Amino acid sequence: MTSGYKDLSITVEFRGGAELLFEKKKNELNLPGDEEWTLRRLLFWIRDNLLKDRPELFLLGDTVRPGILVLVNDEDWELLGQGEYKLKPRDTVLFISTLHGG
Amino acid sequence: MCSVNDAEFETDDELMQPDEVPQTEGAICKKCNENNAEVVLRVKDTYCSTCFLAASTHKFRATIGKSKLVRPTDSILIGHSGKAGSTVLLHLIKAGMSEAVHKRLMYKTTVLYVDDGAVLGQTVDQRKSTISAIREQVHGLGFTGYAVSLNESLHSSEPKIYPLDEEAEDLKGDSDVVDLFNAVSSYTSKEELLHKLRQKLLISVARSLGCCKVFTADGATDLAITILSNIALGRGAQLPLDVGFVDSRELDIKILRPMRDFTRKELIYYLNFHKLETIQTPGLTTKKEPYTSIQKLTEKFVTELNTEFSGTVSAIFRTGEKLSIGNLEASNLIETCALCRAQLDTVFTNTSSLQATEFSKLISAEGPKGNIGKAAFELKKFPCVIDAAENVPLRDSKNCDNCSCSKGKEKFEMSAKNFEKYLCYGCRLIFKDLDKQHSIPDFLQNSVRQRISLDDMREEIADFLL
Repeated sequence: MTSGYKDLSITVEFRGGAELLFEKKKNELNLPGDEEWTLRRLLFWIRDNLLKDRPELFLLGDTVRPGILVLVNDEDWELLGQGEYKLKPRDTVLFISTLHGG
Repeated sequence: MCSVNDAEFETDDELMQPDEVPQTEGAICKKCNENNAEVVLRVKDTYCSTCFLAASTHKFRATIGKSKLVRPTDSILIGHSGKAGSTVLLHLIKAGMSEAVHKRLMYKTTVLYVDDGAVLGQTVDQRKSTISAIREQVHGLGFTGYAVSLNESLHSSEPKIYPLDEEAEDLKGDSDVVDLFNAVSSYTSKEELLHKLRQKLLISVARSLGCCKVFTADGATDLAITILSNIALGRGAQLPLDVGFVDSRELDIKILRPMRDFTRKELIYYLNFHKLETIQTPGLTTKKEPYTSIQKLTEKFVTELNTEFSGTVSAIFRTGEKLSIGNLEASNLIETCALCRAQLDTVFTNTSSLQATEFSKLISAEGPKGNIGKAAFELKKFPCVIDAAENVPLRDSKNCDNCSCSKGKEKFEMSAKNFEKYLCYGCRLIFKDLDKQHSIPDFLQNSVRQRISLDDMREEIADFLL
């Protein structure tokens, strides 16, 4: 099982006030290649590893909270199948809050 | 006859279903049918960046053009906060000014940054660094401008502005405005007050700089939220002014909202495609519970509903657009609110909702032993009772020897009831949340004072008028 995937290095960035929930605005991540990484899995990984507090301000159910936009390599995640999108090496995932004051 | 059978909707699942997400994976742009799509709007419309940006520019120019209010040579003050809306606004105006553009914009523009950092709990150093970030950003977009502290909105004198280019002069703690905000107990009223003071400051700076129009960057999503929260806050009567394209409550200076057709998603993608950075400062209720203020709760409601039903924002927004102010001009003297300058909506008419509110307040204040029957009877005369009872002693205290010289004015003390008379319903609610020990801001006292002496004068000469 493990041999099928390599470690995955991606960039995750938070903007528009979403960065207030995290320590760093820009994060270079190296994700272990144990199994396939989808965006949904990344969301939960971010919640467990990067999020400082208040997960309800970032996630709602198994997706991002309404008002937060997700862009993968500057492309709308709605074009990529949202949570189903399979992350590729060197992808840049951008979370932008559109909510007033973040 | 309506053919829908009620019985069909017995369970929740059968009610309106959320939008189905159509397959948009790997889609190409709907407009040019060539490039790969990069953004999805309204759930199913896919655009590439080129077509999206062209559509945005067109939309912006159409919004301004349709109104026929802005003349090419107008001098315009742009309220800039460093956030998404105003950054896009500046960029669109700059792009429209370049030589290459057909029908290029020729406005004389001035950018104004309202420094409300003190109220948001920032230190002087934080505010300085925000101002210098704003300076960099405004420069990067090809503009110059001014900054002004929110504190200036509390005084009647001309606001002290300073150019963004100069190193920010020593910022004081702005204790007046901080004290005022600390004395307001609820976040709902704080947000309202902040908004009203900002608007007032924009108008007064525009006046002192000789600008005849003010551009603010409220987008469609913001306005949809404002529509619902303002109705909840008792500002329904001013809705067309607060959310329409033009706010004409001031006769000489109009506030325009050229970004009103842009949703927040569109703004963010515009910024992203142009690689523009915004300056993010936490607001009054950032990271607080959704129930902190009516505005925040409304924002949550609208954004959450909009993810399931993508038409929510535009449905609210378009409905708001159709509202207009009823013709209250029957009385030839239009009274305006001392704080927000909108037409007073506090005139009692039979069966007005204000009357119902006052009635309920009266009954509640009476307590179980109160004579409700009598109170209800007297309510019919409610407005006149207030007028007669509150005004007479006040006029005595104000006038010195029956003239309106300054000596008398110094002695003048603002009674809460009397002050309320010059506020609209929404602004009254703000001051209901104000600590009674805290004094009312200078500019309000002055304008109420002026209003009272005008009323007096009007009364004095009433007999001589035909």
